[in-house]
Amino acid sequence: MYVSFEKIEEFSTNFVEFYTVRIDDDQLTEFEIFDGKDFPDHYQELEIMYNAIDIMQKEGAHKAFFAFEGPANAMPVVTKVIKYSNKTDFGLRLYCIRLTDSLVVLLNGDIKTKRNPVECANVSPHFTNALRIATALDKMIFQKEITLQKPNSLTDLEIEI
Amino acid sequence: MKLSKFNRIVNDTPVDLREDIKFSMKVLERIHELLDLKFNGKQKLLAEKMGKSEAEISKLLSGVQNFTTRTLMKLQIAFDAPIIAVCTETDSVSTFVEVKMTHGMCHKSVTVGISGIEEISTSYKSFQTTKKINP
Repeated sequence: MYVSFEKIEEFSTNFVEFYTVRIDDDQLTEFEIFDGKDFPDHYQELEIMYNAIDIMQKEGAHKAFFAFEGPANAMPVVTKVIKYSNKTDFGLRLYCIRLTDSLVVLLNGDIKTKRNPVECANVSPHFTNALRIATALDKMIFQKEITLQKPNSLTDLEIEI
Repeated sequence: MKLSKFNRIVNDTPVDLREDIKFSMKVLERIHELLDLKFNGKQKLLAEKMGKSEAEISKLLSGVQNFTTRTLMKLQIAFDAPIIAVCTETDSVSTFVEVKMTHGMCHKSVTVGISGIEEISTSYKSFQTTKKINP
């Protein structure tokens, strides 16, 4: 599977760069696919997530704004804790990789139906992809193949996972 | 990039909700800052200090919450540092300093503006106690 990184120019500021990825020859990027989904019962969460992303463009992507899920740095953006009566609804997840206060990769997500994301048919593929991409990036950072301190550090980057 | 829903949702968000989200994010950032500073970033230590389980603390710190004032006070006590403050008109436009002098105390009312500190009035009291309040 080939993953190519694309900067989200609409979101990126001098302060924070937002990226997303295109998998293989998909017509849409992962974040565009997420944005195209409808979550009528989770509008409030989506509203919080999107506003948080918008606020981060000016305030920075502080680690406090992300919740870690699983062992890697794949995580849903801030969500308001909304109690659902249905025990198979754990809320909306948008998986992303926060590399620094100034660098975030937004991926895809869905409504989580099991506590363990790997066991949830909805989010499992997105969670697994996030994990694999994060692992590949961590390796490249460790081997100094990419430097996060410079602007446009992920622009046009392509990796195989 | 086609992100029509994103723009529509952000633009349609009521101002008060947006401010609430922004405020919650700032509170979270401050809590994490204090967690790093006071407990070396370890939620377990904060949980012990607050008499709560680590899971409860993790849940508390993992998303935008409706923090109650009571919870914030408990966190402030655990950190022994302020998280939020209340503004008053007095705080924002003026303050005062008391200066110890040889035979008493000089109480100056001042305003803090763009041009710096400006004195409004000065009153002199005979010496009772020595106190200095920094603005």
